[in-house]
Amino acid sequence: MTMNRLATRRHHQLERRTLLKGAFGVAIALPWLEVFQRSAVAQQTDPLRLQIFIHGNGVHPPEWFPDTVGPDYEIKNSLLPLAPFKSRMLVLGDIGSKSAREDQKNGRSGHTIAGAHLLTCSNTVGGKNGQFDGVGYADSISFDQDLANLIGKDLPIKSINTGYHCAEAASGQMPRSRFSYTGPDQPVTPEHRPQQVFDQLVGFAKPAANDPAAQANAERIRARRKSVFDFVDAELKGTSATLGLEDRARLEEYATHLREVETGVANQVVASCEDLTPPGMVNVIDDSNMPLVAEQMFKMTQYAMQCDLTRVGVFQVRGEQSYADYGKIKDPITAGAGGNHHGISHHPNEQIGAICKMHSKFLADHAARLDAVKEGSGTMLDNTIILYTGAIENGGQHNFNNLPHVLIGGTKVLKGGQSLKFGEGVQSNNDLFITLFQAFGVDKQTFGRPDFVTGVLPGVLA
Amino acid sequence: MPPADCNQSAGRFVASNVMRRLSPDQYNRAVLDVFGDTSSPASAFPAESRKDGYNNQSDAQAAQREHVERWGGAAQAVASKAAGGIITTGCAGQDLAACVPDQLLKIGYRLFRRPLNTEEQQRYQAFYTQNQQTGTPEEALEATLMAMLMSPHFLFVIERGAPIGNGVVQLTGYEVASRLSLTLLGAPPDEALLAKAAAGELDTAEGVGAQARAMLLEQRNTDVVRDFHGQWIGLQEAEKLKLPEGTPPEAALAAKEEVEWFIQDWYKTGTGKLADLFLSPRAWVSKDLATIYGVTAPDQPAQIDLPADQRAGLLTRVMFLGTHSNPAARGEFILRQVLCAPIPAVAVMPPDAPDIVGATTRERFEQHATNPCASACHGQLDPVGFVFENYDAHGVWRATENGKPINAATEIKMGKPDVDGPVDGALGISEKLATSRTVSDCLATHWFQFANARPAEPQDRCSVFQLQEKLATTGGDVRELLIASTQVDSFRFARKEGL
Repeated sequence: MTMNRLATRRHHQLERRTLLKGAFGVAIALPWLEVFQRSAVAQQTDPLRLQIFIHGNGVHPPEWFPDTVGPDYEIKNSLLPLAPFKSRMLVLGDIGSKSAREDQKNGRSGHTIAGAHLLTCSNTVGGKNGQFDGVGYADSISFDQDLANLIGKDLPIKSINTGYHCAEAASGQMPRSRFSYTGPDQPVTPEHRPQQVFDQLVGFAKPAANDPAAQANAERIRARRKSVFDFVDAELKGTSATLGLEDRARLEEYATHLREVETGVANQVVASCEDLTPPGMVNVIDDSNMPLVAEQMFKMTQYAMQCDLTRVGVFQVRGEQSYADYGKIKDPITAGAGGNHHGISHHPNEQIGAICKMHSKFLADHAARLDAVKEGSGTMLDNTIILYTGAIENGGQHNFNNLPHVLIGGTKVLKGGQSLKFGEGVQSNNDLFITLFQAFGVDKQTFGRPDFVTGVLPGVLA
Repeated sequence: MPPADCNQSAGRFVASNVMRRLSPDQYNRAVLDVFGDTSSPASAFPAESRKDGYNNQSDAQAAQREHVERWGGAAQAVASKAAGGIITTGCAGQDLAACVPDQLLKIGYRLFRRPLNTEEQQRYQAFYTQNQQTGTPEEALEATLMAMLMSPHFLFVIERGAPIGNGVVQLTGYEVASRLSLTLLGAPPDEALLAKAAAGELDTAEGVGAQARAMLLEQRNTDVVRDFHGQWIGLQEAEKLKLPEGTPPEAALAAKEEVEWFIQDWYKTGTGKLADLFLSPRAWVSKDLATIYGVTAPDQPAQIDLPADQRAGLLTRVMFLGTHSNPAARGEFILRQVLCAPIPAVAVMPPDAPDIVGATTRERFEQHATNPCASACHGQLDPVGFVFENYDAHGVWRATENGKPINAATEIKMGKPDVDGPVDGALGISEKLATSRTVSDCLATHWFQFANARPAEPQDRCSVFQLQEKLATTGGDVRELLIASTQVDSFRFARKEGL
């Protein structure tokens, strides 16, 4: 590579960014999924949604878990930003990841397996040749995706998985940064670029109601698109029949999702959504931009939920073994917490407490925005269950006995305003998720590895 | 010794493989080649999952909901532009009823990387006609191209081949063309290569080998070499790089580009031999990087030779040393990635190396040996990592630490005669690794995995053995390794269960 070659490459990168910025017009002019009719599933008013927020490297337990149980507990430092929602919040203690603990007995490193276990409560697939740490992804579907299959499959977007700095290249290989799974060994790749989320959502823009020509045109486009889907569906069927078993399964998977997307297109909803603001150009891997990216992702997720494009959202701050430097964030909360997050987490202290407090602030801002939207007799927060969680308890020990789970919102189905402890080693993540299934009106008796299910968490459901 | 049963008369040896899909880069390349579309629509696709160390493994390439959502968007955007161009330019002044079907055949040939069969020709033609009844020719063509772009024959690399018994198929010439081009050039096959497939030139191992050799003379093939060696040396971990205090952040990009440059230079203008990955002093340094290396800073990034008494190949560069900043991480990388040695399972993360005021890094990490919990896993890692003690956590050279002289001597004991024994410093281990058969075999195994989009299985042992032999007997010539990988059973044959 000559000097020129390097210089040209830098120039090219800049140019592409500029082009992307200028692409808004194009993205809006060529929506590929327009908004049409309200379907039966979408007509349900004020649907209940799920928002999961995941942060890695554990917490500083004395600054997280309340000392007492019941309604009159004292909120500890890391959770202080969430104090305005205390009456609609549950701080849960003693819930462990029994599956991760079991897996750790196989001699596997805490961070590497933690991500895969958090939402699946199952096993990890062995790395194929044992060369790479011997750990693969989770071997079963995660809670968010399982729920989305039940409440969101026929919506335009099944679930909206985003994060700060969580692309494959950013957080390394292996399950430590993959929490959501559509099935065995099938991690969902969260989107870390706000622009891409924007482009996806803006594609759902609907033609103005007072423009019959645009409406008619949109209807023609929709009909044509449906014919494409039907054609591809038929081709998938025809091709599958001529393939070996593994290849056939792959195309059948494609066909299943194709039909879901087609249904989603037909089910798009005309809703009163606020205008979506373009995120603008952000360096998405610069830690000083972490609060901005979090805010943008949460705002777009809120938009998607308000318009009922989706009912399930997951946001993650990097992944397990995050190397973020919180010293770059200009905020008094993390002023003393600079350095490598993972390195710091090996000796959890006030710095970890402060980092978690920063995360709580991201979430508190989101909860406040949801609470500002009136829906029926309450607010959007009342119709959203937020699960604030992490895959390990304490970065020094990489343990899984008492994971930092907090529930916020969902006031019609959850008994907020309390600190609960369930007794050491009794309840597991599996139980948390069957409890949340119940909150969504889904009567599931088991989730993940059945031998780790004890039963619904007592005292959580309203 | 070759595995006892590697005898072609016994049939073909290949493990089963599941179809790959085009990577986002390959998708972008396809729409650029076929439609001249420069918009890189696939950059909106979900990032590729990394599995077993590489981001191109077919096991991690299932079609998920978010892929399908974005395939639709990309197909529409590309088809819309392309249809407009064909109607207003490509077919301008011609009878559309003749021109469009002709265009569909040509485009289908390139997108599917083979001719459409009669049944497909009729179906796509009928689809165009059907859409024309409710829309303009341009709209109908857009729908038809969209269907082609969402077709499994475009998005996936479908290999049906011809059965030769025992569940094994021999790939067709067109399927071989796709493999050749995607594996060696990172792009779908061009017209010329498809023409060779049509002419039967890719039906024999000799034909494929000759073609591979010709392709590797093309300049663009360095993309694949850079991608493979870059992932092998861990460039995807570049964000972990921590620069010395006061270094401008741009230096991180310069450190990554230095390695990319190194690989490209080594392969294109250097020997392309394995040993030089560990020995070549050539470097491409920016001003900031030069400061870290402690050499005279050039005004503009420039090619230099690093001081021979301090630096050798890739293992002595800022990129590797700064992303593997302690003896445990450095040792682990050498064992896992360079020697393909089993890494001890880590039951419980050991405590960090204790802070001991005034101690050297080595003295702190040597505490691991006396702590039974830590020595369980650090016992094998740290000693190998100690050879890099002449570099601090950022890769800056040091002769002393905390006023004490650096001790970078160690002894490797892993039961491999060609690497075991005393070794002193990074230059010492680099020299040892450069000529080690264990290292050569390990790299061949990695290339097998990268080229086949899956780790080797027991049924691939003959293919892997042949690659290892080729790399070793050609003096570590990586170009010959790449060519050889088109000659082994795993390349022209596939096992398809239930076909």
